[in-house]
Amino acid sequence: MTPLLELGSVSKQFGPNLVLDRISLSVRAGEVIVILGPSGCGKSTLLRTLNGLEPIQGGEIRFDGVLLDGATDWQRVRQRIGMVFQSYHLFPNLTVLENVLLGPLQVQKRERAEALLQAEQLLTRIGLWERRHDYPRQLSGGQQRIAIVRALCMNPQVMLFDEVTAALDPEMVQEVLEVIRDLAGSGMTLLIVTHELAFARAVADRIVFMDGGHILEQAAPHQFFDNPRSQRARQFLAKFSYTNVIKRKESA
Amino acid sequence: MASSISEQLTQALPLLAVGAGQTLAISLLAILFATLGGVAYGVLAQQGGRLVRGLLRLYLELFRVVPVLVWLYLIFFGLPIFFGLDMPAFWCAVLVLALWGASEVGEVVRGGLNSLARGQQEAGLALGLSTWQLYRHVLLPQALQRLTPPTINIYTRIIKTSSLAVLIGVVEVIKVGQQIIERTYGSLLIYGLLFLFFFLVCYPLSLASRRLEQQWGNAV
Repeated sequence: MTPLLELGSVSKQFGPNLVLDRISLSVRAGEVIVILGPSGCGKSTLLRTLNGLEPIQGGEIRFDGVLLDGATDWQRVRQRIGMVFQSYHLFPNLTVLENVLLGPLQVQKRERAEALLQAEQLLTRIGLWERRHDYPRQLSGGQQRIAIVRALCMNPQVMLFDEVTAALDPEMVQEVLEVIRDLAGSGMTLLIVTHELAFARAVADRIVFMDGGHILEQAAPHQFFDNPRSQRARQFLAKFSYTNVIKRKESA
Repeated sequence: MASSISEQLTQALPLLAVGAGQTLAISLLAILFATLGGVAYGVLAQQGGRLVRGLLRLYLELFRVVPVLVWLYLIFFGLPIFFGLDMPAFWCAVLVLALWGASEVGEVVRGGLNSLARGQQEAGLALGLSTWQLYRHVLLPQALQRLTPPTINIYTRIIKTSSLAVLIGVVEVIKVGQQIIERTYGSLLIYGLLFLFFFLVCYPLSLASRRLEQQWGNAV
């Protein structure tokens, strides 16, 4: 079976900085990949190259067998590869429902009634259908879950999650992670960048560990967490378990 | 000679009304074109390449550093001399005010679009929106809320500055006022009326601008 996403020696530079250094990765349909690594290791940039938010300078990316490059119709690709951002970026000038329906109606030109039905199902599932006429600023929480629904309403094949819980209050994190876990269970292809290690272990089919623009390790979660092969991964895990201990002490 | 104030008023008001009509016509046309041009300027300044942005910068600076009055003379006297174009004074005034206003509105629009977090743009793109759809549904509506108060302030400045048109011979409200004063010497009354006219036109705008600022201040 051909992989759904295939990266061959992808390189990305910001000025003189090589952010991605010949990254190769292949992702099967339905696979849940969690990308871990220290800040600045290139993991967010890697996600962003997959829907054309960052052009690449070397190598190639194939999606469903088709080469993605400068000539690609990214509008078409982005309908199939949804993305959710760290600070959700809901459109403040639109209501919750308008946020969710903008893509289906404007980009996909779908029937309003049909798109509305899907929006209702998705918003009901996260318990926010009642708030559909609110503006994002009127909500006390749930913005990130709405951002996820907004992406899902396009019926993408792949979802990219870029540190989606990093900016959330602790009590919101759980709700968002549950939504993502449901998605993982539904067979959708997911690429997740996160610092929630316990979540990563629970949800991932495969962990990809990056450092300095390279992929240092790819392994099943239990393998990676219990027996990391590289020194950098061991340091990374040790540091995180330490900060987790601190966090727990503070909240106790 | 020394007619009563009510007589002066009945004579002056219809004449002043005609002048006021000219002032408002110049101002409204200038505001219309300044707004359209300003939005185009703002979007181009953000989207355009280096050359486009350089040209816009030049245009902006030319209108910033050269007084509007000089532009009026330059266009009014310069067009016939250099291009053999004979443009009526009325349209010269509209053109200059519109160009000046567009540079001011344009800078406000550019600033407003820039201040929208890049995230809004990326979120729109990630949904598959085209550039046009992105501006139409996401960026411009948000910019509009932020920009309306400062833009209204520019409108009042355009209305006030339209009085310079008198110097290239447009018979607008101030010129009419001067003509009446020449005949009746009722300068206090006439200038009082002019004061009232500009106040009644500009104050509501100024008020609206402040209201919207309060109302929308925390909206976006």
